[in-house]
Amino acid sequence: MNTRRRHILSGYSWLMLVFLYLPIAILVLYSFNDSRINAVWSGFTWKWYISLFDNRQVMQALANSLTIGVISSILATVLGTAASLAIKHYSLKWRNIVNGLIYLPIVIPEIMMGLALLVLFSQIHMELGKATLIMAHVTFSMPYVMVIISGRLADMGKDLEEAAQDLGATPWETLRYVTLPLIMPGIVAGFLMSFTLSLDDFIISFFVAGPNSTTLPLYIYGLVKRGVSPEVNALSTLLIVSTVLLVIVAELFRRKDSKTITY
Amino acid sequence: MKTIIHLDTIEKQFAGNVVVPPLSLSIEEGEFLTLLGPSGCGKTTLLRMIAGFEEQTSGEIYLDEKLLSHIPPYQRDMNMVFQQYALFPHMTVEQNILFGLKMKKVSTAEQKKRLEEVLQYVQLTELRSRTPKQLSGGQQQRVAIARAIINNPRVLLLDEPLGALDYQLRKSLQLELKNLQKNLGITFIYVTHDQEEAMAMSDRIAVMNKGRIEQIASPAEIYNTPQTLFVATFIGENNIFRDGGTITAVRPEKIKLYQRGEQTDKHKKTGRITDVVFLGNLRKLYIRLDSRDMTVMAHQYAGDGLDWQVDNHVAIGWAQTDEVILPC
Ligand SMILES: Nc1ncnc2c1ncn2[C@@H]1O[C@H](COP(=O)(O)OP(=O)(O)O)[C@@H](O)[C@H]1O
Ligand SMILES: [Mg+2]
Repeated sequence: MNTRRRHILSGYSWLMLVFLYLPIAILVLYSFNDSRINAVWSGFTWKWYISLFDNRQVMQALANSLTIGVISSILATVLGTAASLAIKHYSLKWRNIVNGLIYLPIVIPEIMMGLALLVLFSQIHMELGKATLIMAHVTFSMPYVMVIISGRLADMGKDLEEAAQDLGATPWETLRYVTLPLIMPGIVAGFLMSFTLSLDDFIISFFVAGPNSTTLPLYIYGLVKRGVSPEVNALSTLLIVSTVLLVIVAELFRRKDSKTITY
Repeated sequence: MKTIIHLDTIEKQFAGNVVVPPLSLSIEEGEFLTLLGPSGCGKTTLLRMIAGFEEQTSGEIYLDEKLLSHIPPYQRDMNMVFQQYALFPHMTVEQNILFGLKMKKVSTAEQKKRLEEVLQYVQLTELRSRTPKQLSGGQQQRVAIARAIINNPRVLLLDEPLGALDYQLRKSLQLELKNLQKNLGITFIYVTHDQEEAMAMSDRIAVMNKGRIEQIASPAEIYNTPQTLFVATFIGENNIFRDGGTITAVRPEKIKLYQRGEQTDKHKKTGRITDVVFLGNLRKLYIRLDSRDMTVMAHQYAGDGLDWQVDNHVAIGWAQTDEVILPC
């Protein structure tokens, strides 16, 4: 009876997994398909991947994505870390209010965020392009950085910082020698998370990108309008693989026990 | 004796709740003063105000007659040993101990010299390159002490430093800490809720109740002549007799038992023995009084001669000098 229920359950979980991953698996599979027509399998090939690297537009989109990703995630990490350190000193009531406001962008529909940002940028007459993309990406990644860093700060407690001050460390020295080293795994995780979010973002970028700032997801969308080609599959596969790797590494850093870190 | 720390009517409220009502206290240079009281009575709050981690709602704190209020913790010439030790997990034992000297920009040569001295003193020389995680509770405790005393502070503040250790280790570290304090001559302000610990280590004990200091005196005075009902019952065991408007406290070891009808001039009450608890060299007798709803405790030591049994009808008495009259 018990074992039967377990069989049914495990069958159900398998079905779920298939449902979730089958489309992705097919996409990855067809990126290695020798035929131009998706529906027919005619043998294994790397040629779509190779042709990507010869494609100037793809390379340009990749360069845009990487530039915007690196700059926006550095900014989001620095600003998010500073904000987490600041609100830690607030009273519980204010901390909850500020936290609520900061985490709101996580739950607001992305399309609203995109629209709001577009309205803002046109109000202040900012030309759409890399700068607006970077600002938009900072806006939606910073809350994630803050969730991660605030979690680590809460785990750390106040004892260690007080011990440092008790031993003569000024607030700056405390930050430099105690707090920052202990939350460093969280900072790294936050950076990787922001970079992943930036690399993957389509909806918000769609609103705030300019003609010369096409990112990879925007480029893929442009291609799909002309039909799904094996190159699109190859490009998407690369994006998926890098996202998964980044998230895994970020998660490893986030979970890293501060008590075992040595520098 | 010279006063090193003076608390002048300091008060602490948290969001309008009075945790420490206005309180004054002078601590002498080189003394081992213990703040003793049940958990939640404000000991940690008082210690943290002295260290500078909490600001008092009103009143002033003086160190060597200089006003300490508004001086941040990192500029106060005292160190604290935290209850959970608060060792830096990302540093080795050596780096932990040297942290204070580094912050004070002491020369490297001096750092090295003092490090070796302190390591030897607390017997951590072999463990110097381990991280806190690789140490036992007792060893971590030593690192916490070493990290504080290497700075030669004027005052060492200790918040239940042995609370996390098991009984045996606690007993032996109590003696070590006491000796360390005597040898270094540093003033210790020690917080504990364990009265035995306070008795064993302190020069003076301040017994705290709900933020107030009920009595401050030597361990013997606290034990023999408690000044309030709280002190009389919190420290050791006591028999409390209420007669009309007076409260009389008599320690169990001062209670004498008599056969009914013998030495009747010494009898004060009569009763029946309800329980006898054997504790090796000591037996605890519980006597139910005839006259009222109360059980009296008496101690009988091996070799006292008389062998009292459960259900014996007895008379009890005590010397006038052994009773303590308490205010209501
Ligand atoms: N930061 C704080 N905010 C509000 N109340 C506090 C704070 N710190 C301590 N208290 C309260 O003050 C009282 C005394 O606490 P504490 O000094 O830690 O007692 P003890 O160390 O004797 O156990 C407790 O009732 C506690 O809840
Ligand atoms: Mg406490």
